[in-house]
Amino acid sequence: MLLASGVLLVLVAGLFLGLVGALQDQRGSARLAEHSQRVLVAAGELERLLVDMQTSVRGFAITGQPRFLEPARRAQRVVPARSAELARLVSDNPAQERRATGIAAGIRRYETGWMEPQIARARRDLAAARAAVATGRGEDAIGALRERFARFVTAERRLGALRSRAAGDDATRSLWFGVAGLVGSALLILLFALYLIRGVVMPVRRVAGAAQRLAAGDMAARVPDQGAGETARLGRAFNAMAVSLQGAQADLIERNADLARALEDLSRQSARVDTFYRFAELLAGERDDLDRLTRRGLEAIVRHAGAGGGVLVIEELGLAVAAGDAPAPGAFRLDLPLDHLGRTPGRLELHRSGGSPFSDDEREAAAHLAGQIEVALTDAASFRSARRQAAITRAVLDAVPDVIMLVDDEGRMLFRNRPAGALLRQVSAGEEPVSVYALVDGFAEHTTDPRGFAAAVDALRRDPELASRDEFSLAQGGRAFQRYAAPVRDGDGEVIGRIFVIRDVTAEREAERMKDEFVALASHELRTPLTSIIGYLDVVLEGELGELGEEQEQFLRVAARNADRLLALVGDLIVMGQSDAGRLSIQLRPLDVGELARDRTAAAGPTAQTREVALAVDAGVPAPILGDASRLGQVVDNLVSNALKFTPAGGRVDVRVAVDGDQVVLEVADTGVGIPFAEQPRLFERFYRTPGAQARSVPGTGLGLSISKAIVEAHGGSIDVESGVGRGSVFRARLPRDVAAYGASHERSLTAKEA
Amino acid sequence: MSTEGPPETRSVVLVADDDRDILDLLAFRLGRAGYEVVSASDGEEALRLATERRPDLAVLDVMMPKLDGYEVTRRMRADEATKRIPVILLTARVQEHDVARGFEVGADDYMKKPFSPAELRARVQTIIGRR
Repeated sequence: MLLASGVLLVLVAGLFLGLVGALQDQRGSARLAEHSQRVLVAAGELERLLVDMQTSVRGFAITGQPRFLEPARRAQRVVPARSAELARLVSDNPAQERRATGIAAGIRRYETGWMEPQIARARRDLAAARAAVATGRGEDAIGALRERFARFVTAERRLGALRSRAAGDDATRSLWFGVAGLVGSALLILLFALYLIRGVVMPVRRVAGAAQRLAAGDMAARVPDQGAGETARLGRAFNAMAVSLQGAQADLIERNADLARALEDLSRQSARVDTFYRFAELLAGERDDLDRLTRRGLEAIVRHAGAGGGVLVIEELGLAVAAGDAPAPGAFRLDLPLDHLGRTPGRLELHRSGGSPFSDDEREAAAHLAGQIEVALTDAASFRSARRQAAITRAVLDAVPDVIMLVDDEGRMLFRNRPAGALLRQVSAGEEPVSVYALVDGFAEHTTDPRGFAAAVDALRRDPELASRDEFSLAQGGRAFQRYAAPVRDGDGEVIGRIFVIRDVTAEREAERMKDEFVALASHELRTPLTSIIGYLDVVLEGELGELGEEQEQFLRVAARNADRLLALVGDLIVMGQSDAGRLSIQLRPLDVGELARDRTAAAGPTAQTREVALAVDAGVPAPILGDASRLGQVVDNLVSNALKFTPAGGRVDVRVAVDGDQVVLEVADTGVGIPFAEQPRLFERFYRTPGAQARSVPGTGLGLSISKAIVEAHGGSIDVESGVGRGSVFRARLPRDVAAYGASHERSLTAKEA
Repeated sequence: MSTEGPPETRSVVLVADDDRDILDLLAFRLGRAGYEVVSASDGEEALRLATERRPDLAVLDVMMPKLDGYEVTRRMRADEATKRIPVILLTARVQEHDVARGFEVGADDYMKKPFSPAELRARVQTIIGRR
């Protein structure tokens, strides 16, 4: 095969060499033919120049005009070069060269022999020149020259024809060589294709076939791999791959089997989880009825475990439920104690007639499901109790007449009771707002102090920690409300919102106002008649209307004394009323407590004498304070009068005034019966009278100490008692001296006035 | 201090109270003290008498019908004829703001009911003596 290819190749190469040679020859012949053409052109050119010369000279000779001579002169200038070129062109051909040289010589002879003399003649004598023309000598000379040209051209044309024929032969030869070369090449290609098919395509096709078999699952597919060369190597590589594939496939099959087993396990578990989940759902749906929950739960367990029946007992909740059939004799049994959160509140019994005993799996599943029932029962019980608790709380808060709201930072409602809902609907015209703060601006307009109201709410909004209590009134209708706002914290101390409690205090404020009015009225209506009684008694007792009899005077004094008592009582009631309303007014002026004590004690002197009680004052040091002299005098009076009342004859009462740091201390000490410790806390309560005082019919209203306390406290001070049965009593009032305290109490008095 | 001692020309004191008994008591006391007393039983009468009689002092009850003591004082102060007549307000009310209001309308002093004869004499004499 290879040999045949080689021979053929050499053959084809030879043919192509021949072809190239023939082509080369053809090119040479063609060039020679072309050369003849150029020679003919050059000869034609030279001949034209000659004719130009002759025509020009003749024109000049006839006309005598120099312009006719121009072409002759131009031709004369180029003729030598053209003649030389023609001779050069035909230098390869001696015959033609000779003719060309003859032509050049003829032209030179024409110039010197005819042309130049004729020109000279024409210049000298035009008629002679014309006569010379008429002789036709010039024409003859030219005719002889053109004869020469004709011979030269005929010879050259013959030569050109010969050369063209040679070129045609060469072309035919080239064609033959070309055709033979093409046929040889085609043969060569055919041979090569044959070689490719046998050596490469067949083996590759075999490998492809085997690969297809492999792909179709025939793992044993192999190809022959003997020999050398690329195809054999391909076969060997294929076989190696097939072996490896076969191994991998076996591996895969094994793993697939593993996976299938795992999948089966998984789906079994999933089914179980599904059962548990459905079970939990079933239980969740029965949260409201514990008996039903237990029964349905047990039924589900019996079904799931494939048992004929069972019993579930939850001792803690007093539940015992049976499901399915009663156990037949000899049935398989499953007895499970239920253990929820470490306790054992119940047990589960299942039984099954026939089949197989309960498996561990079934046992485990049943225990799990029963455990779920327990959890659900516990949850349901606590859910019910939580719901009930929430309902109670809700009902209690709804029953409170106050508005109660719990809002978050933004004012969104976290909780509101029924009155709050009613208020919000009222304020926002039907629809409850998203945020209570959104309502504030609109609502503030309806209050008597819109700016103050808005500012107070704004302060609350800005500071979630702020707690406050204040009041506002509606401009229309005059209803008064008390607002309490405070942060609300959960068990961990985290702020969960802000509570607003709004209470309608219109009735309270109205009552206070009426009380104030009553105080004013009482003070006027009771004092006016008393003023007359006391005033007229005074007139009579002073003897303005004449001397009184002893008994007359005595009786009138009784009347006057009781009128004074009544007046004092009225005064006490008014003071009480004022201090209750926080409106006890005091007028602060500089005064000396010692002096005050001395004056008031002196006034009580006669009473002490009557009762045979020693009354002494110890007020040596100056004790200046700012205070209300008449009110503080009332305190001294009350304390001294009490002391005298409860001190038996022979005892003593000491009034002492001292300065203790920034306080002035007023003490009234007696050697009286004393006050049992248990009664002391109540002494300063309004209308409180000790059992001892009542038993001894000591007169009194039970207002004195209470009023004294109110007055001392209005001064920023305090009052207390030190006493014991049989040890006497010491009442001690402490009044502040420092300016700040005065300021505070004075301010209080002003505030009270404004209110 | 002597209850007598009437000045050469007796000072005139206007007393006004709607309670007849108290009015009489005041008139009696002041008369005994040597003053010439002019009595009025309501605010309008008091104002009229103050203008007509030009008293040296007016003792006015606060709670009177028609015009109360505050209003009488205010009008007296507004009238050139009566603006210099001192006024003592008489009140049965004890609240602080009553007293404050009295001074605001231009009263010179106040007295709480019931008053003692000594207090009445002292206050009246203090004011009249000041003139």
